[in-house]
Amino acid sequence: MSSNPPLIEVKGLSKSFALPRPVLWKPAQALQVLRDIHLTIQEGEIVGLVGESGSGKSTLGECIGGLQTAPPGTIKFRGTALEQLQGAGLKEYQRSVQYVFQDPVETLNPRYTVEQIIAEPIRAAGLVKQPKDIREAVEQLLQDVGLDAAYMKSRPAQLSGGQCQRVAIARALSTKPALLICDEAVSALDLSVQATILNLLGELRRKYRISQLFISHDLHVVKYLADRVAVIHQGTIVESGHTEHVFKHPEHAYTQSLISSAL
Amino acid sequence: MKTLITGTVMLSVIVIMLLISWIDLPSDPNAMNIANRFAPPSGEHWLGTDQYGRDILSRLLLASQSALTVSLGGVGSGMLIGCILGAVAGYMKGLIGSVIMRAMDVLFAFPNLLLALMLVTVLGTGQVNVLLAIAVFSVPSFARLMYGFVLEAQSYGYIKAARSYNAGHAVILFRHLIPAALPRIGVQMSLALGSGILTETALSFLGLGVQPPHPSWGGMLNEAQSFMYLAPAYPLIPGFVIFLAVAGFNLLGDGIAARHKEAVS
Amino acid sequence: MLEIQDLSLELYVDKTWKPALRPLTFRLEPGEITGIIGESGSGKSLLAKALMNILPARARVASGSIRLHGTELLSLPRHRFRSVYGRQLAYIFQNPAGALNPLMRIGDQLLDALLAHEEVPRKEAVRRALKALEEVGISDPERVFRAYPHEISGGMKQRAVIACAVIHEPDLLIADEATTALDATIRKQILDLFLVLSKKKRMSILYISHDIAAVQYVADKIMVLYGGMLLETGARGDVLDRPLHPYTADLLQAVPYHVKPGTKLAGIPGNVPPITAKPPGCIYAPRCGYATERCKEDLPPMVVAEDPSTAADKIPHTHACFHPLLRDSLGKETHLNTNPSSPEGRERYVQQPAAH
Repeated sequence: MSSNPPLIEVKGLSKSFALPRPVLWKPAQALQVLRDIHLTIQEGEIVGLVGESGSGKSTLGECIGGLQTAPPGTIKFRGTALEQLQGAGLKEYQRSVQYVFQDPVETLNPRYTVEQIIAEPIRAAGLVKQPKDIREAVEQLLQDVGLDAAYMKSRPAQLSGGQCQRVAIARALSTKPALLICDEAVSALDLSVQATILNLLGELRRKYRISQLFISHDLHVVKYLADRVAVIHQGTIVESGHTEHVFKHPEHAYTQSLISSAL
Repeated sequence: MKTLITGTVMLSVIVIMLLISWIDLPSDPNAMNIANRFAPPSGEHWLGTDQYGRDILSRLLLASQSALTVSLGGVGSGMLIGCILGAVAGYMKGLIGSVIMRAMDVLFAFPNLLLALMLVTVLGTGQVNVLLAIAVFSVPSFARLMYGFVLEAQSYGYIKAARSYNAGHAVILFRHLIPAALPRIGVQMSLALGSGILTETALSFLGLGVQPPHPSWGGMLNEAQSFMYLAPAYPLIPGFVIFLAVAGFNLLGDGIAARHKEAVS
Repeated sequence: MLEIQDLSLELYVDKTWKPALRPLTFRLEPGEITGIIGESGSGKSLLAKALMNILPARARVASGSIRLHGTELLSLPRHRFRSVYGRQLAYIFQNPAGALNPLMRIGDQLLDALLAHEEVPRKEAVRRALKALEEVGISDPERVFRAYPHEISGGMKQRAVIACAVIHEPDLLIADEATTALDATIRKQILDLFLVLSKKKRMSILYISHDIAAVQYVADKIMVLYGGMLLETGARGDVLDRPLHPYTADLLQAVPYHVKPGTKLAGIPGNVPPITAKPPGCIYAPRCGYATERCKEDLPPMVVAEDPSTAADKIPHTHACFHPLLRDSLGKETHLNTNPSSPEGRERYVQQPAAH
């Protein structure tokens, strides 16, 4: 439709980890975690990545987010391969792709206040420089994620799990990203709180057109939130397509078993 | 909690000794009086006198200065160097990390005292060299501690998060990693101070540390052992002070570790 | 079979014993799976541990009674513990890998579990261990018997753990979040196994989870626990399809499973209260859209619903709410004593910090 390159394009990505040698004289072995992955994320789109533990779904997310290195040329950000990004382009990529992790309490350093936590990436990205402006930006972010500004001086230990996850999302939003990688972002939350965070993520897409790579083992959550879904099994994407279509007419045997075992 | 209190009480005795020695000594620690050798405790000499008739209490108090400054200086500089090396090794991994940590392993292979003896033999006697020796053998334990911590911390959620928003190495190191490591460094510091004092006294016992007539706990112990039959109480006095200092630091370290564990769980 | 009467638990917090679980009464019958739904801090795990007599040191039973076949367990002499715990009452932990010793073969661990309670010759013990493995749906029991934990899959490990628990054919099996850590495909298999065990072996199973879908799949009877209070009990269909307590209804609305994609999930504003929070009134009142002044002041008692739909069921549908939800013939929710500040009036999303 449009000639703009997709936000993220993954082409033929394979990745393996070196295993420690069992014995000194034997060759080192490698554990292949990702095999020939193809995946695109368009601007403003929520892509669900479903898989069981050990399927490689988190590794794929980390490769896209730049936390792990991928082979040259396999991941492109707005048409440019990650390893070719330099200077302003690299900064732009680093700013544009942000993470929300599973355990909300753990991802916040317990020593710092909410304000300090959210301000850190703003400073790192150099978007806003004046202390007063940073403070205002933090206030605005808290408002965006539905937390009162009175929480600025709280520390993570004083917040509930859901509130911590809101802070983590505010921190991810602080650099005005184009893509949020949500790695099991609601799995550790209480049910009654999970819904409010899912609503928040949906709202962020509507309001700011933030794309999301939503990684989860929970079919219902992915079905609820994602526009497109990719099913990953033993390092390979076995099926992908529009969420409704994949859930209604699963083609691959693994997808079928996954859907039929959903309760 | 009990160990923490016991350790603190024992150490406060040592610290009070140090403070008194800075303010004023009861009498001149080097004033000899052969006529009054091995005098029993009296109003004038609270702990009696030694083989030259010098006031034991004053010598004991003055010796606390060299014991504490040398061990604190040695362990402190060892900690700084060790932590930096360990953090760098853990952060860089790869070749640099391996080289640093293998070098630490080599240092680790020598017993503390042997290493210190070797260094002092090479460098010569004197307080500064003892301090250096203590620093050298303290380095590997701190490096190992920091290396392990940095590796462990890579999996901490907030470190991963900081990497994900490209906080930069300096921010990750100084704002996240080092503050989180402080409790462990404190524990190791306390334990290392115990062995630092032990090394200082051992070296001065062998005559390699503070040179006479300046008093040192080890030196006093050495002198006292020659007169054990004449004045059996004399060696007990420096011995008890050394015990207070070493046990105090060890108990303090254990106490902090236990409390930290409690606070974490 | 197992009767729990006015059981209440206390937690040691800030150097005092504080009430945690409000008195609750229920019975577990053979051949029946009872599901307990609860979020974190609901007291569901404490309850399970109290039944197994493995409460942590910071928790204790404050009052009440637990009777197994008429025998009071709370005053059971120590020397009889072994004949009850681990034998008549069995417990499965959440993490299957953690419950198995990685250095022992599965078979030896099964034999340990068996010989701890019964004196049987080794040959007979091995035969029973193999039979237990077969009963939990392991197709090649001989191989698994000889295998170390790392040699078998996660699902197999959980089956082996269950085999250890059911080898004595216990009357009650307590599964505390026993499928939470498992992958979806394995979870279903384990849930099916629970169904088989309860129906074929007439075992009573207490299935505790925050996973509503899983509870709905296995449970005959459901108890809804929140903040240390029992809010609703009843047959599966009654509680999940016709919830009476606003909390149950809100919780069901908050789960993507029950909601069509695209529609906004009705998240519950506010946070799960700590288990030691004990307001004078209903524990859910601060987050409830139907709460009135009365809810905040008086504790609603557990009452049997006068809902006509429960008349046919043997399992009474009970709730602890002054304003239970009612449905008209079309299944639409209506409300007794409708509160003027209706759900639309709920303040959502912006959370205020509690006064520190």
